Amino acid sequence: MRTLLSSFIVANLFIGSSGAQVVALQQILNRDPDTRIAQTGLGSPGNETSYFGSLTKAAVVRFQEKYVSDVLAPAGLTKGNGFVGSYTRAKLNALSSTPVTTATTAPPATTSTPVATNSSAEYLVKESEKIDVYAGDKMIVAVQDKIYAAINSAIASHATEIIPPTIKVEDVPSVAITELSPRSGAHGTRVSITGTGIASPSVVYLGNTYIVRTITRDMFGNFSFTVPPIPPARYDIAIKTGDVISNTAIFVVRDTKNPFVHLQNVSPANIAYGGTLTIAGSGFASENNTVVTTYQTFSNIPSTDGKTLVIRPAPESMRESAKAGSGTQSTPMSLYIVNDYGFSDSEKTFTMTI
Amino acid sequence: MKKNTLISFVFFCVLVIPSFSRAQAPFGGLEIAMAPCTCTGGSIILHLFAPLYLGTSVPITGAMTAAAGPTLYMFNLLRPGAWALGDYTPGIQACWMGVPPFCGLYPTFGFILQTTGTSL
Repeated sequence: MRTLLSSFIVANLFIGSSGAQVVALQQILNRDPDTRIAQTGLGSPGNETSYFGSLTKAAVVRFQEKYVSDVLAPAGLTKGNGFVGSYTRAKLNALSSTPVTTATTAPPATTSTPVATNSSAEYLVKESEKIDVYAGDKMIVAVQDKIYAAINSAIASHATEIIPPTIKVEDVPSVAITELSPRSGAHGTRVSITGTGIASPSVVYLGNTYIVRTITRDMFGNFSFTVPPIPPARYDIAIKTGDVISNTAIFVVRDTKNPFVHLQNVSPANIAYGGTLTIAGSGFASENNTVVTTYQTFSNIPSTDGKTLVIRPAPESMRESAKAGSGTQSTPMSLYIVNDYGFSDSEKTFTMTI
Repeated sequence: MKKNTLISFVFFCVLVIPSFSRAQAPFGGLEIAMAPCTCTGGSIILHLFAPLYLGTSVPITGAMTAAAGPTLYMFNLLRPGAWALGDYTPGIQACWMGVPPFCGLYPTFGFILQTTGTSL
């Protein structure tokens, strides 16, 4: 489908910025695979968000360094800094004024490009079965955004009471996955699904690419499915019951030759809002590691040595508090890792001071 | 000695007895979002549930607060995506957000007690 992006960037944008301009920025960056925010999940094409976080900053840096002569050289810079100022905006807007070809649905959820084999072909999603596997997630994110907007607005105005937004039960999917057990396994593994609102008949989507059409319900009412013979990778799984699409949960189809993900430590133990957190361990993939923290999930994190990951946590719910921070409020957080090899063997804790 | 005993008794009556006499009520719900109550130094967490059941079968949505656990998010504790079932103390408004002295109160239904369990 050919579309013309109509939004132009008119404001300076930087880490912590939010709003429609950030959405437009992410849409422009996502047009080019070299500057894509994320391959899957939030920030990926079709899933742009209104928040300028670490992934957006990294994409802006790649953009600036790709167009170094137009963006950095006029400002006397040689390295990208992630700040969307006048030169960066000019280049972004110049590129956004040309028609592009975009997908109408979210990208495949796999973190590596799946290649269908003969045995996996029967599990490919047919044209008539295509859905947006992230439809349920989007409903939940919309609710979360409303909550965070209310919180941030009240804090910015020094209000003594935060007025929560009106949230209806219908605003979130009535079918939900709360747990997959196990959360990783090879072809043939039986996976139990815990959730709410699941009924027969239901189907299981493994990203937008694969589908398991047979979901079993035992005498106790528990649902389960068998992992099909599809390429080993990390998949975002959603259940479709009737017309309702659930939230997604991550499942890793394991290749037994791959290493296990070991989480050794995080440092420093205490960081400021937006500060750098270094994660040490082993079994980190060269790209597409996901770091799940208490209040924020980071997708598509690379690891050059397989032993180190770097993130800069900046939860949206704490944005305005951090701006006014006095360095006295400390919030405990934890994190774990998931990539194409599996889930980390433990979680680690740290604190954020604002 | 008598004076000290009397002071201790008054202290007990004023501070301890009310915490036991507060009503407890059952609740259940699916958590969809959480945020730190930043004016309480991260010791209190806001949890938003949808649906939320407060003693009846009528689903609503709304927020509760709970004490921050030693670990969060992953191992059988309150976190988005988990179903919670347990008890809460209605009426305790504990979630203050912002940075002192500028703190705003996020209204909640009450405070989740430790007799609450979650799905994995």
